[in-house]
Amino acid sequence: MRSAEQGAVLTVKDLRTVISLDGRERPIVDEVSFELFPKQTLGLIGESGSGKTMTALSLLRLIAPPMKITGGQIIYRDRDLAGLPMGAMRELRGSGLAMIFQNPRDRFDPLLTISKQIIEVLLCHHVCTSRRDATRRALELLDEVKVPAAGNVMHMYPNELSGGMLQRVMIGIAIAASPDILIADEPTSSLDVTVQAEVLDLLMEVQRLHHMSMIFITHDIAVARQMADQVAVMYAAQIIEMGDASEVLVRPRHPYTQALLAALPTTVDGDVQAVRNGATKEAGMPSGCRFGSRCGKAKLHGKALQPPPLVEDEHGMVRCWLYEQTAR
Amino acid sequence: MTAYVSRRLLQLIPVLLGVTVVVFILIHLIPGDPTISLLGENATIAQRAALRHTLGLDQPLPVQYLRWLWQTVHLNLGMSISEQRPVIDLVWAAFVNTMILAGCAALIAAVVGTLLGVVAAVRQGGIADRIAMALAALGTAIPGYWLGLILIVAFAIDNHLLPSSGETTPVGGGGVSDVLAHLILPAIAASAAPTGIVARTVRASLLDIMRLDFVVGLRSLGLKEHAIVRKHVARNALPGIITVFGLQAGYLLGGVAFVEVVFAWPGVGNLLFLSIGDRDYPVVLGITLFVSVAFVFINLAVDLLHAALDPRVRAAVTAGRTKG
Amino acid sequence: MSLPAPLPIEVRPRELEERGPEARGRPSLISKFRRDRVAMGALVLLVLMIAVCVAAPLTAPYSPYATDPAHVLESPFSPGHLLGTDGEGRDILSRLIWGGRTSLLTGVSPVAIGLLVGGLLGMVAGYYGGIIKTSIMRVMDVLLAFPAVLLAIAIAMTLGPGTAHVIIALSVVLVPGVARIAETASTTACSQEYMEAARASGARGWSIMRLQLSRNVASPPLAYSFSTIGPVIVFAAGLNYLGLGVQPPAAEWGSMLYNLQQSLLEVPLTSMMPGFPIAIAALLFDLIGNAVRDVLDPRQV
Repeated sequence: MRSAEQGAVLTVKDLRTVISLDGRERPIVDEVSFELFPKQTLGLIGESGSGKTMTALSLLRLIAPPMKITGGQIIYRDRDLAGLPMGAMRELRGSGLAMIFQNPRDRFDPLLTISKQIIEVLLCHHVCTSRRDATRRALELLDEVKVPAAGNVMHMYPNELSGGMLQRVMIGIAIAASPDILIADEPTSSLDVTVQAEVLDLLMEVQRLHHMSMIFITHDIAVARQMADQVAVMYAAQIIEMGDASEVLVRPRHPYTQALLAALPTTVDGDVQAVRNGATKEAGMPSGCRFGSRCGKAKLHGKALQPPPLVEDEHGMVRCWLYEQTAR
Repeated sequence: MTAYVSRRLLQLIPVLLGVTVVVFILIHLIPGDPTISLLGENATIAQRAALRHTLGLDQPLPVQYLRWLWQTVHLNLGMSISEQRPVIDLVWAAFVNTMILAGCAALIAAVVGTLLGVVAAVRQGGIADRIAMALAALGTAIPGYWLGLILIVAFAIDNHLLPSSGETTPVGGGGVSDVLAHLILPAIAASAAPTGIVARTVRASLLDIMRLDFVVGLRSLGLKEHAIVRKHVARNALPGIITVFGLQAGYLLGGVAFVEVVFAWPGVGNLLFLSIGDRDYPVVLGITLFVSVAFVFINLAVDLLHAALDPRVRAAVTAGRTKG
Repeated sequence: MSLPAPLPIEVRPRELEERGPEARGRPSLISKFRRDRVAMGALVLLVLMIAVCVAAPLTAPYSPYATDPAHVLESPFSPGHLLGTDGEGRDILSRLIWGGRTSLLTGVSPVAIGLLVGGLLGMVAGYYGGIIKTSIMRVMDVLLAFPAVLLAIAIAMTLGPGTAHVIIALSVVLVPGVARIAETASTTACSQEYMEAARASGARGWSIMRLQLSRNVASPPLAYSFSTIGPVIVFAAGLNYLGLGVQPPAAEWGSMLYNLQQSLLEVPLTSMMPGFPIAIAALLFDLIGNAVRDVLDPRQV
């Protein structure tokens, strides 16, 4: 594990978010803990339903009923965001932590021009004090995210721009108030492959220039390899493995991570679909190892019915019975 | 925007022509001799021969259509059989009255309906929501003409609070306040159904918008909730709401017919009703043509307003993807 | 013994389609409907209403034409006449029951016809596209250019008195709305990938169109049509109120309302009687229609 010589910019401890369905509460973010260091990128990997997006939304307290945060801490600049009053939280959104989303087209007000939407954020966070100032700064931001013909784009509506362009604009808006942390939720998944590479490069450059930390959410291992310094793998609302990207993505320890990397389904009962489609949503949360019923190695230890220990050692963290003996 | 407007205006022409074709077909569907239908049974042979000549009734149908169309475009819609006056005069006078009544009803529907819809959306799931939607359901189910009768019984008969028929008091009336007094009950009766529809649509529209992803996106940027609702949600809901207002107002042009009959309000519906009784076909068809053309233009105005508010609509048409 | 014929082409695309809700463990449409208690209650009441009207010979205490000059314009709850009598001394309850057959028929048949004709036109337009679609939809646009009430009145008057003509008039008014919805649904469905697969494998037009009668294409027009039944019942009664449908002395809710209006001052409650079944029927259909729409086309919460 990294030594704590540089203070973490964000510390998440045992974060727990649940959803109330049919009178029962089910966890969608379960005991999630990690640390994010300055200028570092944490890759959050998992399939749909694993809880990675919910974790991100929880960090920004963008959770609404029937979901709510029920436990844990989100420590940013010595304050626990989990318990922060909404007014203070709103001030931090955009200026401390900012987020960009998967489908940029869905994130813009379709009735306003691009310039109005950027200016609104600039004025809201008092980055600029006058409209003229904000207009100038908006143009600068568009240039920074390499939007061509920025002058024209300012007067266009979101439906007139391509997905790639909108994503750049969204990045520009996200960094407008100079946040410390940028959360990117699958920012390139809905873009063409050719555009993906450009946007990823842009993200890395922007991160470097603004000295930001980044939480990069993805289901694509190749992209994670490219972007992340540290990696956390999520399954069924839990982090089941975490460590340096160079370790976890090359020598994965948890059987699920191994399956992901091998791009092979891991089955005991041969149900290919279930592993692919976040079967965690439909199955009730078992009390033992959540991956147990699909794990090829569960038989080796035979303890799948009990919750596996959280093992932390020099390689990182893994939540699995197979590594029980290395637990301290 | 200009491109959109011109395009929509061009699209109007085939529709208007289509409307005239339908009316023309209706004229020829009337059983019996068209000259008798259009002139009445007391028409002289000479009159009928003259009409036969003017309309070219012995000519092939397309020629007949064109001759009839030519007359129509020159606002010659024939003569009312029962009144022996030009149809256009009768229809125009009645139409103004209908516009007044429909306009009032539309206003009531807009205000009350929006209020109900907003309350229901903002307090979704709560008791206010249910009451509002129950009222909306009642509004659409209760026949306007029946509501009119109920209102008459409640306000006009025993109490004499409000007049129960006509547009003005026959003796000593005629001022604006007199008309207004006569207007209240029919306007309320006619507004029940549109109010219900507007309330439901406003509620659904607001809920839809609030669910949209961009609202989460805006929140993630740290914008204040009331600013989001005011600047973004309301404005995004507006085009849909305005469209529904417009549709209801247009619908009311015909829909007030029943209420007009109940209250003897001298509008198009009442004229229609009297004409049905008199078998006065020129008036019925003249009304249909006239009001439908007005309806087309009202719908156009609503569309243009919608396009002015929502850039996606302008883009869709310009790209060649037109409605229907 | 010859080998069984290969599976017809139309079966294969169905496999590509999602399996039915039962296979996924989700409740079927019917059971989802059953859970809506308001709708179920409304359904029960509606069935009751229809049954009473259909069984008119058994349920109506009097003949609808039986006049009784001695008991004219009686109020409700007077002896022998639960809902009073009209201007000719005829029992209102009986006339409402007998008239209900006409009123309900005139309300429901145009919707059914509109659904069939409009649905078919829309599907054909959506499937074939091109000039067929343009011509069909342009005609629909023209019909929609008329205010519904005016068009119905004009057609009904042109054709002459009688219930059949009212039904025709209302059907014509309803067809374009359904056609538009069906066309949109059909066009969307046709652009789905499994349609490409079916076409590429050589399936003929009819089999593909039968495939379209899946939930995706049939639901929107169905839900829409259902929601129009209530308003059409009100509309149809209104046309009868204007004198366009049944002729006296036939019983029908709308025309009864017109007849009784002249005695509104004398016996207000009696005169308003025929309005109740119209409003109740419309309300019941509305409640059921909401539930039907929620089941066929649910909004994601």
